[in-house]
Amino acid sequence: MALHKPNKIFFGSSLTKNLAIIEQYVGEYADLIIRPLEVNGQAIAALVYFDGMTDKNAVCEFITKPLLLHPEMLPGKSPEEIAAACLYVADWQSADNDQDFMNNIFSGDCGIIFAGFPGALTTDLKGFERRGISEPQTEIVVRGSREGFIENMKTNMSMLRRRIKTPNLCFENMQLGTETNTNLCVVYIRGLADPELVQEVKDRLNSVKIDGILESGYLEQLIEDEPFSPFPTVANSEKPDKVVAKLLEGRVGIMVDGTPFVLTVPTLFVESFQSAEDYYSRPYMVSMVRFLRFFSFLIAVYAPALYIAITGFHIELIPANLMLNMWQAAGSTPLSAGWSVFFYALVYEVVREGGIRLPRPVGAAISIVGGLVIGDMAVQAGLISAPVVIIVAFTAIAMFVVDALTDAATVLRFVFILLSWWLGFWGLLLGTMLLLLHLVSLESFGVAYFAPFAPLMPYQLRDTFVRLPLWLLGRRPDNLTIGSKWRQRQSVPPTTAIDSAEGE
Amino acid sequence: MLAGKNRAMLRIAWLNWLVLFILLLGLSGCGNTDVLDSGDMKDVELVTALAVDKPEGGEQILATVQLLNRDKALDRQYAASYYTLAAMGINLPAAIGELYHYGARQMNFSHTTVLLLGEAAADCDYWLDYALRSSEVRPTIYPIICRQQAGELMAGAAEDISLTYLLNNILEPLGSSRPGAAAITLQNFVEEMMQPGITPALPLVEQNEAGVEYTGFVLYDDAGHVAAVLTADDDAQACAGWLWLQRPKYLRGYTLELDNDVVLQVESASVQKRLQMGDDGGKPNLQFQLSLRAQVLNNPQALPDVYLQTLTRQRLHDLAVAALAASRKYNLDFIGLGREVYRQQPELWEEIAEQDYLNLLTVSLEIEADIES
Repeated sequence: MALHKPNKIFFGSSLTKNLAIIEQYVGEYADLIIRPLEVNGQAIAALVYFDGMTDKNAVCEFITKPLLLHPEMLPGKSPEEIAAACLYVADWQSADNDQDFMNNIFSGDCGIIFAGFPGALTTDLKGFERRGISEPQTEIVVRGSREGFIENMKTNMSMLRRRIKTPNLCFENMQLGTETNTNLCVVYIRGLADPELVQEVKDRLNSVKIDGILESGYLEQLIEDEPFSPFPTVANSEKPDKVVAKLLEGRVGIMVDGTPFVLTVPTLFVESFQSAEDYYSRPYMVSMVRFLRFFSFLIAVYAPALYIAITGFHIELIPANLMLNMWQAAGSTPLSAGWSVFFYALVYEVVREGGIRLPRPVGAAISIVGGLVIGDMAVQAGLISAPVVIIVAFTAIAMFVVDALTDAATVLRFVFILLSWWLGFWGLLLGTMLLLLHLVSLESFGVAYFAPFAPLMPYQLRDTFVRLPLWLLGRRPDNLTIGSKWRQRQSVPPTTAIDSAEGE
Repeated sequence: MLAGKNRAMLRIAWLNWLVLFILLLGLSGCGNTDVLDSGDMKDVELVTALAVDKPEGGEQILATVQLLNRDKALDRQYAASYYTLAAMGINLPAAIGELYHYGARQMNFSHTTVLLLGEAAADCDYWLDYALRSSEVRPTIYPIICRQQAGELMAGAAEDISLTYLLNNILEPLGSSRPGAAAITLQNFVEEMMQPGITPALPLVEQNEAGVEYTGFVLYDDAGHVAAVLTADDDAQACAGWLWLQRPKYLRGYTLELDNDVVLQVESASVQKRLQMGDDGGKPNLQFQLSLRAQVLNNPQALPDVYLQTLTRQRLHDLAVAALAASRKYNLDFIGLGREVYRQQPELWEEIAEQDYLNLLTVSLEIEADIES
């Protein structure tokens, strides 16, 4: 399929010829409607739209009716003048060629081609079905907004606009995909986002040459810094409040029409451990949960490998009483610790994948069967030992605590399993060194991915393993924004701030 | 399509990773899988004790291992939980090597707690080099010398109670995992062997009708040969004195029997040693300050605490004097007088190291006893 569009054909003054250009451009479409408007047997204009994508009632009410009722307003006026004087529409766009015109029509707009003018108008009268705003399934919170982005980009833009009521909120529209012509927009807050970063994002988007963008995941993979890294250097979210928080730190968002997932860049490793809810709750429990998330990630990556290393190479590390139980359990199984863990981890991944793809009620049952019954039966059948089931099952649960790094944790877990299977603790150490080297070498749009740990940024550590009270998090991340350094009164407890304000 | 320059950069980056990986793999020879103590848990047989004997009239070494019976491993205090294997070799490594042929699977020594040495094989020549060099024997293992053939003692354990259980009860009183006064790890033994001014010792046990019991200790000379054996039959007070002066912090829970059938249980004990130089060229004096806190377990005549303290001081004084006398008698410094001189006055140690310093030094004893009825 061609990655380059054919040449544009510009409209002429003849309505018939212009309609012929459109028909030639689109070919034979069953659902394309061309509705001529005639006054006294003479064609004055034609409406072009797709059946099911445009609101027909609105077309009749706001375009057809005024044009037919006031034909005297047409002669001698340009399409823009007619629209301004006659049509009951909020806005319109001019197009002087077939491609610009049809791109909007493909998006659900209604087009009007006037007789006698080398141009056309399109106006937003979309009428296709869309999903209502609902709570995102991937980022459920106990406290916080229940709104989630939907597949309609305009609606998503409005959600951001409602939360950031400032003229500095910028949306820059683009289209990508030679065949899909997917609408997308770059969003940022002027004065907070680094202009060089914004330009870099736009440059990378413009460099994408592909036939179609079906989801923001396409863009994520096409513009990320390290495509071979297991770690995501472009974040995504379904929650408007989360995206707003990131924009307020100077990040840039990318919204794609047709998906509720909005991309944000630059992305840091530590972001994966932060949740929107962390900032809505008091800091003590949040700090504990942060520790749990880091701990869970380590468990998800290391636990099976650690089990293999200890039982295969370093039995002396197991306390005697525990070791006797494990030794007795392992003796009745045909598989070594390495094979057992590898086998059961694979079984779990199969079950998980099956559970996701199956219809929800069946999927839940499959997960339970996979997690409990298969593991229990495997132990009873003597295929694997009970500790292996415990380790892999616990790992599987821990993996989902840090949702953003689930994919990375899965890949790394298998890498570490193989390394410890081969070399024991030495393999684990080797893998850890390589992992750390990789993490510190990663960048996301010019920002160190492993910040604030490396390079060390002491102030930002306040929002990593622990989350200090909000009044102690007054500074914006230095590495992300060029805007004002302080986002709130500097490090002042709330009550003291009130006292000092009263004093003034 | 990547531009040519980018392709080259990518290639170089991968090359860097590859080189780094290979370098890391070779670090300190850790990548040599031959030396990795590999053996999956399901394949290994756990060795709980290793016995070394030198049969009479032969030059070979007999190695015996006590292994856990996997099916009954959790009933670990019973003899049925264990079985033994034995093999001969020209030296200990060879004998152990033979054992690997007999074992159904790999032997794992990671949880071996006891190294039982027959009296004839107690000389360091037969076992210490292997114990230090082998990755199988851990520094935390307890070497014990037994009066019988170690292998026989190991195989002939009582029907209901295993040898290891008995030995562990000797080494870890009250069935705790806390080492007792008679428990000397391989690491302790080697450290004492390397230090000047102290004669290393290992506990001695024997099996009698009552079971396996601690019966004294074996002293080693500088060459690693057995220099003397102090037994409870001949030197009972000296053996007890050694425990009090050398390993007081491990005495918690021990019982001390006094006159008039009084029995005390030790709660804590400690010894401070202070070296004092004699006036006008007189003999240097090493003062032992022994502190004891104990509870009365048995006091049939209801003797007052003050009297009990007097009895305790007298008893401990007798034990210490006996230990010192034995040390002078055998000319073996198992109390560690020379080590204290070396630690506190290295110059003085330089002067007396080659002399008969056991008789040159005077020893005084100060005992503080806190007895609770």
